[in-house]
Amino acid sequence: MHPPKFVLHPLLLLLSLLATGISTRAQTNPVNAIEANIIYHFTKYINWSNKDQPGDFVIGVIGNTPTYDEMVRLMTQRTVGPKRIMIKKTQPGPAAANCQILFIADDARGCLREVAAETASSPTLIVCEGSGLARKGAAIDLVLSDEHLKLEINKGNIEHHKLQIASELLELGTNVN
Amino acid sequence: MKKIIPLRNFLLLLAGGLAITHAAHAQNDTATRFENMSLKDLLNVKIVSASRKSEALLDAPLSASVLTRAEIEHAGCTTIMEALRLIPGMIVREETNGNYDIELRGMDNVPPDAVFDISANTTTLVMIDNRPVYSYLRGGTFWETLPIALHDVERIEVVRGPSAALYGPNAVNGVINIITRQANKDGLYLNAGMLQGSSLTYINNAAVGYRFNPSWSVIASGNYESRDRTQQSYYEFQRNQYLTDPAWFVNYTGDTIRNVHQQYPDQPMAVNKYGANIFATGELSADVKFALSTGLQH
Repeated sequence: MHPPKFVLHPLLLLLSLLATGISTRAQTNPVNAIEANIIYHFTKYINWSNKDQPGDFVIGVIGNTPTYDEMVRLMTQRTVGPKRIMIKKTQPGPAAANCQILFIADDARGCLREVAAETASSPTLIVCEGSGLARKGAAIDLVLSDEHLKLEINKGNIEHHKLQIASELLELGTNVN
Repeated sequence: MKKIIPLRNFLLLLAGGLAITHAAHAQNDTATRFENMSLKDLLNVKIVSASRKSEALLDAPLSASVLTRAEIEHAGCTTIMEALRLIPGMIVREETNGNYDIELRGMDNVPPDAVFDISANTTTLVMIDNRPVYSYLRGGTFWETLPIALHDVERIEVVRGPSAALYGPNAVNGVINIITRQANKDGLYLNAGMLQGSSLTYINNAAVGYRFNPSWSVIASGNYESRDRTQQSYYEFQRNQYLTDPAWFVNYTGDTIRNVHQQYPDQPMAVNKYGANIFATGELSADVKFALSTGLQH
């Protein structure tokens, strides 16, 4: 027996509204997509001391985060100078020191100090997400505050890794020590 | 004959709707949506998300204010109680010289002419570094007995409105949370201040500490404050008179019972106190942290 029309039509309307609701909700939470774009912009404002060496421009991601998928989607076909950008998941260890940018996701923030020590002598830009991590070894920290992503930049950590940061980037963030 | 949508068509519609939703989801969240934006514009994109928020008190669903160290310094306050006057909604009354009653939005539970031990507001929670401070006798806060001085304060956060569900006892009208200073660079931390002013006011502070690394630090601070009364007469309740130098307390029957000079040898003084504090923070791992705040006041 078919359900009567006066039941079916409101049901369809409800499903349509539900679908619209889900769509709207997805649209208002773009933090991972924005993070990926911000990290891509860092390649324009940072000068790597090993930029003339052969090989790919490696961006390593530690931890599980949708930002990784967004970075792959955004940067796979792009280059930094002549170097092709390569996004890869990595772990704390010697491999981390081979990355030009190392993004440590929120769920892996506990390994920040270990990673900072392992990459101390290599030109690696450590980017984290979560408040206060630029004081604990990260070069740049992406902090969600007042409904906006903000940058906390530790210039000392950047220079310690033999990297140069453009003053334009420094002006867009908060300098912490 | 009634026309009824067949179940097959209904399922097709449902699948179509979900597919459109999924497409919208994918399109809206992809990084390519923002690829033409500058870094400055990306930082201006409004993000509505409940996760990974920094501890911005003003995001709380209550009326709140934060008084920063810079604002305190610019205002020229000399005590924590005076600094609270800068916060909207706070009512700071200096009941007698050096003795304060502080309330939020006019809601106080102190009756007029209350005796000493119930003359402190028990409906506003006061905390130092997220730890409640109040009199264990009655639950109110005697501001003149706080071990810290303004010199130790990094910022003062005030939440106006009932907050007991979040903060527990005393937070009936709101919360005053005093956050102390921390060393912001590795190595030795030294800080000292000395103030002198009218009414023979002397305020001396000193703090010494050491930050071993961004996770471990310790600070010891001390403070001394002395100031005379701004008015020299006292109101004697039983006699209904202002007296400049009361020699005796009077009991309800009019008989003298105690020698004031013996009980209060420094009658002209409004404040004469000193305190010492130790603050230590440490982080054993990302999930295990500790913070120690301890103080003594006399």
